[in-house]
Amino acid sequence: MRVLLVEDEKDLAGIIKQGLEEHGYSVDMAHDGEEGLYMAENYPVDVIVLDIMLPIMSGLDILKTIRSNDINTPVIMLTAKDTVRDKIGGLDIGADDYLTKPFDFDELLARIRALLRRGGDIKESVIRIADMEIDTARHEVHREGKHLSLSAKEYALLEYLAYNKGHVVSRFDITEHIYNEEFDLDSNVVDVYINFLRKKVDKDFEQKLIHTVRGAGYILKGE
Amino acid sequence: MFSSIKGKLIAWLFLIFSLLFAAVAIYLHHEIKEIITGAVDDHLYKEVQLLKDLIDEDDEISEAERGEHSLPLSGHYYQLSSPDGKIIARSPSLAIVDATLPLGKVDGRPHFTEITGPGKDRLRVLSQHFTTDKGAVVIQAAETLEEPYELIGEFRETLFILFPISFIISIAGIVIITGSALSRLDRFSENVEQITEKHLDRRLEEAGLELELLPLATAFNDMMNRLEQSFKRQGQFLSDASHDLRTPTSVIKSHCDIILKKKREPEAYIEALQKISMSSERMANIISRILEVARLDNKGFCLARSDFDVLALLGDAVKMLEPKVKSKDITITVHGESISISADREKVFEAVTDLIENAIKYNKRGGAVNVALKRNEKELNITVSDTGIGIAENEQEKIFDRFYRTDTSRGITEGTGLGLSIVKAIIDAHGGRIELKSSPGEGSSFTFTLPLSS
Ligand SMILES: Nc1ncnc2c1ncn2[C@@H]1O[C@H](COP(=O)(O)OP(=O)(O)OP(=O)(O)O)[C@@H](O)[C@H]1O
Ligand SMILES: [Mg+2]
Repeated sequence: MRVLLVEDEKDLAGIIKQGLEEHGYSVDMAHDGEEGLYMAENYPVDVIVLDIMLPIMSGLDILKTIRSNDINTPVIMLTAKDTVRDKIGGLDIGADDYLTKPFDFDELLARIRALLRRGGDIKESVIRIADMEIDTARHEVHREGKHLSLSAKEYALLEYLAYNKGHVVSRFDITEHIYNEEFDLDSNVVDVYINFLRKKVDKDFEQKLIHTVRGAGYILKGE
Repeated sequence: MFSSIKGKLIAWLFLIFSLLFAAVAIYLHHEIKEIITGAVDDHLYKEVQLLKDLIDEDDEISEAERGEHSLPLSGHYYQLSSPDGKIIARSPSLAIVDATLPLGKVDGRPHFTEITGPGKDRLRVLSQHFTTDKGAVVIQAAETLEEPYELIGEFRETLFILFPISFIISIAGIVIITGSALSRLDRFSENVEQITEKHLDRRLEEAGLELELLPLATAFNDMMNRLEQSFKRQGQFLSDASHDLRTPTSVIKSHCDIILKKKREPEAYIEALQKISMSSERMANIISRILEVARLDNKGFCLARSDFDVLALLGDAVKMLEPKVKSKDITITVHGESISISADREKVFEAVTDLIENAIKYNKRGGAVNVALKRNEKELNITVSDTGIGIAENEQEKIFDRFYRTDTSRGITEGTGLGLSIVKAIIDAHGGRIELKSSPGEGSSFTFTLPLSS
């Protein structure tokens, strides 16, 4: 899953990016309002974490602009002011959630997960597909009660497929949402990772969950 | 009762009314009595003359018996007698009750006296002594005063009815007028009670107010505006301060949260601790600046003046900032002659270092800073100019506001945005001014003045 982090305080942005990446997100960072707006409108991000006080353009203005341009990416506002008026102001113009600085990092993770689920029709932090359970809070995967150990990259790929379960996901979507700018589009890195994932997720089980849709991409489904 | 305006007005009115009425009553009473007795006296005089003429013309006084004097209780009497008291003739009104008028003093002149008459009524009597060819005679005429007195009594009664009526009408007027004016005051206090911490924007209604109450309402509203302003300023300051503290706090918190998530290489801990240390330093800096602002804002704050040499102070400031100057490769120069001044040395030092620090901070690497000291008769000028990033026209006033930092400078360095507001407060406290000339990209020059004699 790809997160856009718009925060002008570089030390804060840096450590949060590191933390999110360690939890399997790919993170884009912007340090001012203008850059943040550009990325929000042009990058295929799944969640935006948006500071309110930003140079050049405020977080609220960015939010207003992207909502009026029909971009419905979930947004978590970060605010340093905790007056009620600020909170309501953010939610009124289409923020999905807010966090007051200083916040607990686990809280940020939980809120991001909640917003990602809200996009689909998943209600719990555990996603179930047939006999597979993906605990998005702990980053743990079980099949038939057996624990599967995945690398961070593999987990991120599986989670992305799971959030989009029942829908075809293209190779392009995967590189964009998971591997960020690290990989060349032409490379077959996605196929390589899909193969790794199949070995761990499907190989030892009768029911296959990861399917290839010729010419379109991949789909995670139970039947 | 006398502690209320209404009570005082009523008492005052009562006093004035009573005095006025007493004076008017006494005066009119006297005047009317004068007029009435004057008329009676005139009448008596004519009557005496008439009787005398009759005596002169005739031996008989039968003529005089005629007219109203013949009626027994007409209230008109006359009597002719010899000086020794022998009655010569008298009016039937006297004769019928067999009464005489007392002679009194008898000389050539007419005398007026008042007696109780035969009908127990008050009589006014005119007695005059004449010497005719038939001998000496005292002619007396008398008339009752009952009728005029009745008139005076009626007048007095009217006065006594009029007094309370007009008094009551006036009181009613006062009660109504003061009541309506005072009910305004009641409404004022009701309105004032509604002004609380949460509703500081409530004001007194000024439209349709009496001229006398308008200044009160206006003055009150003006005062509330000033209070609200300063209340808001305080609130804003607090919220800005907490906002600025939240940023370094969240840097510290996030580093702790994320670094502690798993076991890491020692370098990761070292790096995190360095970031945490920097953020704590920043917090300490913000806090000390906030305290400084609060101290300067305090009404009790006063300058600790002493005499010192300003040029030496500038030298000290430059020396203190040497490490920052060197690390940015900046050339710094100080111009001017030595001038002594009486001021708060510590505060002036703080202002000067803040300005020079800004000139270094917002400068290009390898740039220049110039500090110049000049004087004229009344004041001295200290100018700190730099070759830095400059300040856009529309931001030049705002940078003296608390917490204000320009967008361009935010990207370059850290700062609290409190430095210049502290500088301004210090210079204001000394009775000086601060001015700024700047063009973006070329540099800025801050000049402040200090009066030479305090
Ligand atoms: N010499 C200068 N050249 C350009 N901009 C300046 C200069 N001095 C001040 N400014 C602008 O004015 C703002 C306010 O300055 P101020 O000294 O009040 O705060 P600061 O320097 O940001 O914080 P602090 O002084 O507490 O470190 C700065 O952030 C900067 O944008
Ligand atoms: Mg400063």
